[in-house]
Amino acid sequence: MIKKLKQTDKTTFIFFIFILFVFIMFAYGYKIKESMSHFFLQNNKITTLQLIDKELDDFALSASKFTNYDEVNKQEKKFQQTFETLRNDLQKYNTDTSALLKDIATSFQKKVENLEYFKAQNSSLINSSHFLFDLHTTISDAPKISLHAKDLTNETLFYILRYASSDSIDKKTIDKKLHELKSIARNEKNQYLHTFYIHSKIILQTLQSLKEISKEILSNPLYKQIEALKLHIAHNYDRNLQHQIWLIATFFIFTVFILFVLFFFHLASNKTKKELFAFRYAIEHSDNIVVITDAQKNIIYVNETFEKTTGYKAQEVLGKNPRILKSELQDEETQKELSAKLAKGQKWDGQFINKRKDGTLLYEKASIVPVFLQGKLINYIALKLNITEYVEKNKKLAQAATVFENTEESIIITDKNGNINSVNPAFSKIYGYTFQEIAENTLHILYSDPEDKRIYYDIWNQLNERHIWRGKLINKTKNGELIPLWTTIKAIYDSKGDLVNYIAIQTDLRDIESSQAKIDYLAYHDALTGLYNRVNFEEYLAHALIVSHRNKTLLAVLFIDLDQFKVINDTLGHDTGDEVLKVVASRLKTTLRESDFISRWGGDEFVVILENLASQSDVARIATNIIENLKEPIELAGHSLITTASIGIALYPEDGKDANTLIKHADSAMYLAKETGKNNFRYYTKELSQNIQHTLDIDMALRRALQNNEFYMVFQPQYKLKTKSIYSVEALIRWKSPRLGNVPPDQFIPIAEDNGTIIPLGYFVFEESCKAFQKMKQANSQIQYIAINVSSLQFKESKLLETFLAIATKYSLQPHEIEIEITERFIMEHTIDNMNILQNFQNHGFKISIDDFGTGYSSMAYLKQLPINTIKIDKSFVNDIAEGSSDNVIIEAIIALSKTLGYEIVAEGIETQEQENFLTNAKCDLGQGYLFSRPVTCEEIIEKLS
Amino acid sequence: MASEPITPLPQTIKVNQTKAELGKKLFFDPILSHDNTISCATCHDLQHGGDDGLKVSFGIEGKEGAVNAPTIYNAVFNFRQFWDGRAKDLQEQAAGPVENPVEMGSSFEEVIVKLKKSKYKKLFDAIYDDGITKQTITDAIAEYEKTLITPNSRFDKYLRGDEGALTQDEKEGYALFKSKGCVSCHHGENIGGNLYNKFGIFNETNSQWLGRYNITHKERDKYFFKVPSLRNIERTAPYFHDGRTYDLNEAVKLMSQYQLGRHITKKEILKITAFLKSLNGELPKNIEP
Repeated sequence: MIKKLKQTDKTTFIFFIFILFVFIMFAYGYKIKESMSHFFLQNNKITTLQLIDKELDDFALSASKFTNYDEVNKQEKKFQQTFETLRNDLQKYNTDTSALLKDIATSFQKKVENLEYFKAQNSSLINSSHFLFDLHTTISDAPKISLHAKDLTNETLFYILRYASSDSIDKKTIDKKLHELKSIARNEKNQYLHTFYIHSKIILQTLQSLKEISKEILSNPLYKQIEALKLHIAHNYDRNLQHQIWLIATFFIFTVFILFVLFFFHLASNKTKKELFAFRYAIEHSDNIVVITDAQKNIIYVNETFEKTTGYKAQEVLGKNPRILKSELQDEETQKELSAKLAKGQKWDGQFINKRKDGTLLYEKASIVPVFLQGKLINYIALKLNITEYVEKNKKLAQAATVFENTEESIIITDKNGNINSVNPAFSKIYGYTFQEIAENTLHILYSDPEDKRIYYDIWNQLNERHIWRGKLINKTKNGELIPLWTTIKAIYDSKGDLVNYIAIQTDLRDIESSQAKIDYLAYHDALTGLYNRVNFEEYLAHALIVSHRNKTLLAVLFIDLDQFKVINDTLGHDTGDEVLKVVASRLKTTLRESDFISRWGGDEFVVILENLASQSDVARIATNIIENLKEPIELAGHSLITTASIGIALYPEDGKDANTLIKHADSAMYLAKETGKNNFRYYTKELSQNIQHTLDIDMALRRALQNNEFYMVFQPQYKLKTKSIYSVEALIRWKSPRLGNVPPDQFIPIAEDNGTIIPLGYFVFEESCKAFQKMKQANSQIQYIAINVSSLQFKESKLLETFLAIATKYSLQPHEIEIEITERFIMEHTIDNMNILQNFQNHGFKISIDDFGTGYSSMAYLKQLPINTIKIDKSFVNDIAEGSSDNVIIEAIIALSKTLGYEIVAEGIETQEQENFLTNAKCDLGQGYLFSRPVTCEEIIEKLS
Repeated sequence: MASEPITPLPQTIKVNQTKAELGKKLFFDPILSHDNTISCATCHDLQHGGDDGLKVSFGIEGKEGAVNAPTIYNAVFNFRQFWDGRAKDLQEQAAGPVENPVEMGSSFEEVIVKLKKSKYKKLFDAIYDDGITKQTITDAIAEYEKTLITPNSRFDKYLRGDEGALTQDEKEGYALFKSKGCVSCHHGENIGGNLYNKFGIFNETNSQWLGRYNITHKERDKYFFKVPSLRNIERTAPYFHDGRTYDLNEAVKLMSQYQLGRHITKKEILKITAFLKSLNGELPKNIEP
């Protein structure tokens, strides 16, 4: 391909040369044409000069003839002008003619001078000759002149005429005649003769001058010189023409040659084109992925296989870097090595872990070649083979091998004849044989009763028909032990349908079979206490109710719940808890009759069925016994633990006819017992049922309330008692249920805590409060913080702190602008873990406050150790403020002590001016209550603030 | 009349009018002389025959010239300029007097400097790419001089076929002019001015000036002068290169003695001069300075 590209460049070059040659040929052709026309022009001028020269020569031969010299001058002038233009031209084109031109100029100058003299002499001659003829006639007619003199003038005239037309007359003869004439003229004293003599003499001189000058003019080399110039130019021209014809012929030959070369290249390029087409076809339909990039590694071509394999269409990847295919699994080292090799201009071979468009992995074996054209990098070509299937198969094989090695199941692989090829470690563990010991043996070695052919016959039959057999086998181990094995045998066929292997997978049933009895027991008993479980209870109750119904006897269901069990579990651990439960179970057993049905339902819930009761009071007596017995301290690992119990009682048929109703009602009665101080029992009443119903309604409604946006937040200002200005707010949740109406928080919060909706609700409260506080802050930056109630259950969320921090950041709030309100109960209930959690919140900047302070059992001394910023005095104390009340003293004490400990004090529920005055005087910091403001919406707070 | 030795002057000749305008200004401007006293027109008075009517001319500071100033009229038709033919054309001639110490007594260096400081700067620049040079100055003057021709003399009209243009005497004078031999030198369109000849073929003329010999230094050229044109001859006295006579009759008489070596009667002379006076042409229009 590179070679072909080079050839294309060469073709372009040759084509350029061809064009150049054609151009040169045209240029030369034009030059030849120019020089031809130039030559003919010059030649014409030279011919003109020659013609003029001839004419001037003719004029020089026309002595004694009148000529209008204007004509001669005109010819001279024409010669001069023609010569000047010729000279200018020749000096331009034929530089070697200057000598010739100079000769011509000189000769012409001489000729002109001679012609001037000729003109002058000729004029004289004409005048004199005319006059001489006139005079001769006068003399001939004159009577006074002697005959001799007349003859002499005749002769003289004759000789002069002869002399004028011929050179054969000797001038001396004429001179002699003239001399004679001069004497006669003097003798005869005749003016005519004298004049004749003078004129003849002058005419003779003139004639002589004319002859000389004429000769000189005719012998002027001008014509020859012009002829020489003409020949010279013609010769030059011929030579140049020859030269140019040679050149043009050479160019022509070259051009033809180039044309041939071009034709050859055209043929070659046709061949190349076909080859390229074949290459292209091969690339497009290759099973290999082909990617071609430019030097900047931007994709310029991908083939069909690329599209099919990666799921990308060509137009999606053109112009992009192949990196788009890169997966996270791609090793960075490989990438570096690839870049390094390519940078050196070397080929790279290796493997990619790429990603298809749909995100699935694509394993490729790749070769990347940099392509150079005339030393310049122009492309990268990547040829890649999709080896995903191969890699994945390998992976599966590896996995299979791992399974094979690690499974508890024994795996045996045989050839088609049943000879053992391979066994796994589990096989060795179960049977005690190593692979070496049984290699190439048949499975017969494992048969417990080789004589019992029936079962094996059955196995082979099934394998032949269905290729699989499943069933229980009793096999023999190396040491002769017979073991039950759940066995699956599979016949393996290759793609051609030929049998290649059998695989047997066996599960050792020894453990399973021995634990089956246990399982049966466990299904109906509580594993920890050995009491009946709930399933058993329900079955038994159903049965007992039928019996009671039939016998019309009284039956009671007792729901027993330990009061402090949770604390024991949390503080002393589950193991101790379990021990406590065991003790409780045994005490129940000893307390109750053997015929009474005792069950444990998980946790600390025990449910008892009492049958064949004589009266309701029997139940009360039994319940009292139970309570009394359970109240006794339990000695465990050095602890003396006291657990009390709360018991709920439902009677058949009075409180319910069916099992479910009875259980439900007993449960409600148990809750009543808990609420009424624990460590006692309660009978079910109808009223209780209604309360329970309401609770259940709330429970159900709560689960959808958050989704249905039934909650909203209100805010009650906390104000500086001293200045009566808003200092902070407490966020309070409100629920408006479409079915139940407005439900107060003290009703639904405990239920939310029970059913777990407190968690999402808690986040809702926190987020809504932060959102509102951001707005309040924008309205007035005076407001310091927002107090948000957080349930103790929320702290069980492991990510609570992170989530709170994230929410605060979302609304651009600093943690110190948020006060987390916890109940005193939280502190009481919980332990070091909870303290750590609180400490962590405080460390991150959150304020912590204790709500409803004074209602629990916490002592002020205990508070000291807590990570707390604020104490909120419970409403009940504030309510009781009155002159002389003992609560006044308590409040003053709390305030004083809190100040000493550095806490801020908030008094809740201030409803009267009297209360406010008292608290102000007691130097309580902040107040909150209807007197100042009821809880209001965020917008109203903002209004108040501004 | 077809083959008369004399031909009429053309009515017009081709002239570049713009250059001629400039040339005219220069022609009348004494700026060309060293002391700004002499212009071309000083010696070539266009109102009076195109010469100065003096035997010899006076240059700057009253310096006396060597020969009689020839007329400027129809000079364009002369085959050479000056009496000795030393200038081949009008342009070459125009350069002569500027640098002649007894005429304008200046130099082109000087003239060019003066012209460049004057109004001529603009005029030259408008016409010539080269601006003011010796070449362009003389070219402009020569161009103007081409306009100084005098066609349509009565004789020219006669030659063109107007028989009545000449009187009988004049016609007879022309016949004598031809038969006595005058025409052998004075012919062509300018009636002379197309050859040199010796002053005094038959007689000694006592000329102080050697004529063409001064140029060629050839013995045969002694006393050779350009044969002058006879057009406007009546207006261009005194005659001959040394202005030896103001009388046209006398000039004709001298010519017959010196050049033709024959006696011409008084009557014949009168007829010839009558013919010569018919050679006065129409003066051109642009001869007012």
